[in-house]
Amino acid sequence: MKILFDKHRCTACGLCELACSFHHSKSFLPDKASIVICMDRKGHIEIKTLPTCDFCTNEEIPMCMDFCPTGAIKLKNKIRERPKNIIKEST
Amino acid sequence: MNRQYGWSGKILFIDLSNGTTRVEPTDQYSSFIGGRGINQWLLFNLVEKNIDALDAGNVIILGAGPMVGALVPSGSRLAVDYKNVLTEGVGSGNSGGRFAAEMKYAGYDHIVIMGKAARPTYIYIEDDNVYFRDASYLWGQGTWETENIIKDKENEWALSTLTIGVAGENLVKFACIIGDKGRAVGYGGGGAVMGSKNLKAIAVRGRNTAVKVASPSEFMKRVRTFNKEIFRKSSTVEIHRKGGTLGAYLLPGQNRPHGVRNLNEEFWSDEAIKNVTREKFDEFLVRRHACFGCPVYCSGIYEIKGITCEGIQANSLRAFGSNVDVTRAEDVLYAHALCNKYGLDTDQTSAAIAWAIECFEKGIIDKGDTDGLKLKFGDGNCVIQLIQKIAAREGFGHLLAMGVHEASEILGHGSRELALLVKKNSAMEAGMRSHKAWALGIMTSTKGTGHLRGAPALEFQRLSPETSKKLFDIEDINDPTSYKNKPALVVWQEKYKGIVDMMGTCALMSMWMDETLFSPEDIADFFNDITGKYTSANRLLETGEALQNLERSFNLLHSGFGRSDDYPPRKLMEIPVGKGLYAGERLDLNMWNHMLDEYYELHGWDKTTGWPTKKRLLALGLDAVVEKLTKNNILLP
Repeated sequence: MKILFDKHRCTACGLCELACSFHHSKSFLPDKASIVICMDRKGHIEIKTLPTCDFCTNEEIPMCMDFCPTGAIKLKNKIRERPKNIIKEST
Repeated sequence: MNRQYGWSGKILFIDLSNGTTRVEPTDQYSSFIGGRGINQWLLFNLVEKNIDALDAGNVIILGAGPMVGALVPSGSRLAVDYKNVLTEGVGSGNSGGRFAAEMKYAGYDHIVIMGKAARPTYIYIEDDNVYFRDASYLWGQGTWETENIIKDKENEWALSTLTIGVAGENLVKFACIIGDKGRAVGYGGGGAVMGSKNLKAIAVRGRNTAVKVASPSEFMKRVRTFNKEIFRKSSTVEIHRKGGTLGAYLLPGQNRPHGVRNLNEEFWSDEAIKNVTREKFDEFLVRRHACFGCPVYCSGIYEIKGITCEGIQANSLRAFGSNVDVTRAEDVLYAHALCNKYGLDTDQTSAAIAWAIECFEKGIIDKGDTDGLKLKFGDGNCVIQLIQKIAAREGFGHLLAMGVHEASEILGHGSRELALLVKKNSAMEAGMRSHKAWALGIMTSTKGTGHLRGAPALEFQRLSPETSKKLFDIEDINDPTSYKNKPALVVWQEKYKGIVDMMGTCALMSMWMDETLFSPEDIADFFNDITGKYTSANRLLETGEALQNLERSFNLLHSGFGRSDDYPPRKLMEIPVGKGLYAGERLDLNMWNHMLDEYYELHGWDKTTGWPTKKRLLALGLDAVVEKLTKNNILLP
């Protein structure tokens, strides 16, 4: 199972970080999330997942994916075709 | 206040003069909820009457409300309050971005910055630690680059900043503060206040304080409903996702009001508009960008002539498009980008430039005054050069950097007649001749004009009488050109906007312009889920009313503002709209007087002076306000 990101759809809103931190801690703090959104000095986005990601196995779909407003996050085993512009995969 | 839920629980006080800090609990100020509410209460109590806005005795107060930093849609707003450099009354701005949330994650609901540093400084707040860093090498840097340099220096790319550019360093009176590289805290010269304190930037990083909610299941259900149902149905959300406020309101063929040529006209031709539509700016777009925790992503990052900037929204299009009659998208965007880089409020910058151009065209000034520049409407290059001169306070720019009120006083020769001053600030809005509630809200705004107090953008939506009755208990507000019932709408809007600013959510995603988003009842439900308190929408609206009275009292104490300061500029009463849907519309003095009477009456204020009454302030629990006003020899009616 892998979390896939489309960085061209990502708007850096951080909803995935907040939802993920809620999944882990029942509170909101990006440092408790297993997903990190970072914007570089020119406004380009980098996204990564941390080894603590458990794919929200107790949820219907991963929380990050559920709250992403642009559909920039997909779970690999839930899609038939790989989306374009994948930049990072969890390990 | 239950500090376990919603709030982070602490207020951080930083004294730049002696490099000390202290912390107070937030809960003692709970009657004003948070954000702009607690900010204004602290401002009223901390700043004494005769303190100059650029004196070390002024303060900058940052506030994040209880809805910030959780999953509340648009819950990312930072309220910033200070004594206003232009009006000497309430200085107040608000920005999106990430700073407000990061502040809470560091453990602080509010940060109060006092005193003056001996040399250029930036503050880095990292959870419990506050560092005072040398910023000499940052002096002269643009706002975007300043954040990059601080991130490199601190080796922390997740930190968030508020910065000033050269305009703030040079104490330009309408210099603004830029949050997270590109979000502006616009009105009142906050950038100059930071500059006067030798404060180049405030950086914050929070790792330890989670925002907890009292009823997690109910809260998450409510968030999902908003994101997946209410926002999905909202046409406002759809528009803003495509292109922010450029998305739909200023398109060709709509005949909407525009602020044109120093607001001498409110009709802009379709030929002009079609050159500066969203698509024209999209040629420079790097990506769409959201504020932290907001599903609407109404902003964008642009690159123009080597400058990366956040932006451009309807305000800047009016500022550097219609108000100076520039129709080249590249020039409009570049002017906006320069203002972001230098830290200039685009509204007041445009007002100063458009006023100067009109003065030039009417022969009040000539090339001898303007460093050899020929000023004319429609010339983007002239606008860009003036922006550079203002930020650097160079030559003619030094005069404009004082703001139109002071500049017109110095210049004389009838130049004041060409200005659009209200409370020493320039009214820089479209639609003030035709939309009467909009105009009243702008003229009575406590921060000195601006559409983010009592001016309801909802008036542009032409609601049915049934809808306005249901939402506001106001009979009919459908016709924007009518004066009827408009004071009631403005008073409602003032209270409502107060709630939004105290909570830390966004005006764009609210009933300010979309009746389906965040009713007072919705806000009360979110607030109750988060904090575990049980309050009602009406109780929140009462708190909004108390905030309005508090700000009105601050203005009375510091600037002496009253009824005579709530009138529109002459131009809006004498020069009617020339063409378009609202041709012939202008503000009528007699009708304005009737509106003011009704507006004061609804507030329970004195109609002759426009001052809050002692009885009203006491009824709102503002005994300390009465005491301070009395101590300063203000005899309340």
